[in-house]
Amino acid sequence: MKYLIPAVLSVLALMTACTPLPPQPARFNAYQGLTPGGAPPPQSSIRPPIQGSGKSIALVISDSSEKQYEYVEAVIAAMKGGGYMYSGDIDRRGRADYFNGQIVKKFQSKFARVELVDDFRNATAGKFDYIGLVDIAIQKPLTTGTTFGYDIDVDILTPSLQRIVSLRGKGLDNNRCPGSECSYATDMRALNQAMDQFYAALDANVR
Amino acid sequence: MLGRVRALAAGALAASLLAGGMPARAQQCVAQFQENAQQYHKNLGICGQRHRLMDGVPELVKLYQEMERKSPYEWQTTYYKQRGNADPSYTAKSTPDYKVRVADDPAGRWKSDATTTYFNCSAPLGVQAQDESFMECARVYSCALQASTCAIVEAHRTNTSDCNMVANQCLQKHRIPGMASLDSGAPPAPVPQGTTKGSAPRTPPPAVTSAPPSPVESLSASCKAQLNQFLQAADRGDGAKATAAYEALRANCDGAMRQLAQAADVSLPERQMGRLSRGSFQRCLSGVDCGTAPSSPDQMAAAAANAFNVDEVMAAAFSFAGLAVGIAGVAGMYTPMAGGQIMQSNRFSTINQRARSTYGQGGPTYVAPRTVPSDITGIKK
Repeated sequence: MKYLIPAVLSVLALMTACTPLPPQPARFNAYQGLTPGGAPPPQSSIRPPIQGSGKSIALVISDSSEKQYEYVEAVIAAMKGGGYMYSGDIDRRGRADYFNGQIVKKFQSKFARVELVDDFRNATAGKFDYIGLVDIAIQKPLTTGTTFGYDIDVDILTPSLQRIVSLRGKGLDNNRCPGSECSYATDMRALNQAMDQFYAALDANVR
Repeated sequence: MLGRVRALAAGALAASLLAGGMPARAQQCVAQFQENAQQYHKNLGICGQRHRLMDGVPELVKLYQEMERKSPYEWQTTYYKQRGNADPSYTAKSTPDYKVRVADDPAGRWKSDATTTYFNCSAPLGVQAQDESFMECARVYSCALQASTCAIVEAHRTNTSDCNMVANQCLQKHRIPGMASLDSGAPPAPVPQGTTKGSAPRTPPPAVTSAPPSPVESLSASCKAQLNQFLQAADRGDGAKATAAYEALRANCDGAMRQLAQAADVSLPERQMGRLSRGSFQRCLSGVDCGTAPSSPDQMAAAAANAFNVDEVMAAAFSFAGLAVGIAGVAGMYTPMAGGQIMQSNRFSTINQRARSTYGQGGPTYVAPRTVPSDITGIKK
């Protein structure tokens, strides 16, 4: 018994020593750093649906998305090093690769060529038929929270930087049971909800 | 390194030509360009002098002489003759030399006849061998001298007070090696172009009548002010202010900035995609590891197996189980199955032994028979 009391106390101490999980950073203007003064582009006279078959699109990822990815990395780091119980594949499941991969796959199913470019200048050099500005937001629960969220906003632009259409997908779900597997299930529900909306929007606007 | 220094020098020369364009009357432009020309001419002579010294540095000659044990007379008649009749009395304190003695460059950067060395100002700057260093130096200043001579003539001819315009016109016509904005785009000028002979500026070049205006001139007053703020911040080494000023310039004067960049032959700094965004999307675009939901049971098991040493995980479980049994009675604690792996593990049985009864009084001098199967020999009782 004399060995057990310190052991139990140490377990309790571990439970209370968790590093607080960081909060999701606020999103900011997706065009920041991409257009002069972050100004949104003018509306194009082209009306959706647009033709995707046989066409190329350059994907540009917003700076705001990068901040969201940094936040996700911080959450994972806190969970791994902050005294939380975590699954061995949290590195894999916690990151946004699957989410990003679904976005990429959807674009690849619609366009003949999909490439990643750094900025609009690289996308407006006449090498692409369209530009897609991808703006992502990801919400993980706080230490005592339960909410998972995914947002995807994509502006489809002409090579001359005129906005044809904005596509949106939003998913939000709350954990209803304890345990990491329940959390992942909630996470995936939120993700799929956002992806379903985005898929529907893309299907409706790109042939 | 030397090439970079030379390029900087060329840039500074061009900048000083442009700097002559402060608001002034035509006479002031002429005076400014004349001052420039004098300085370039002086520098040209120094470059020539340094080049000549490379052929006849007295200390080096003396060293060779001593090593080969030749008399000074022998050196006068052999070494110096072999070195183009270099003068051993010529030192760094001697007057500048405008007569460069060197073989014609196969690449056409310079060539000489009996009296004159001609420089090709269209050829890019480059030092292929050590003894070309001061020749390139001389070429830069010779070409700068041509440009400033042109500017003097043009300022006279047009009687303008816009010194910048004159300087730009002449820099378009008279290229300076290493000056990137002029090295690209313009057609190469034929040899000969310049000369190192004589101390007076050479014959004026043809007048320029249709040179494009400088992009700086076309800036609005507001953009000029912002450009100045940007340059001032950069000059002070204040990166944060320079960046803010640059962003403001791109926001308000983007078209003009692009023209400036084109004229200066530089790329405007543009936004770069974040590391995480690039990594993730690029990985997914290449079709790696992004195609299926990462929460499928198979993937979870595989990932978990990869993430840990399974033996260690199992050992930890057995230890925890022992702890759990030790505090049996606490609600919710797991009770090992009869015949399960935990029950078969040594750790669990070791801990459990403490709870076993002993025969007789006192310490465990004799441990009660095992009540769980042994997993050491594999023979279950």
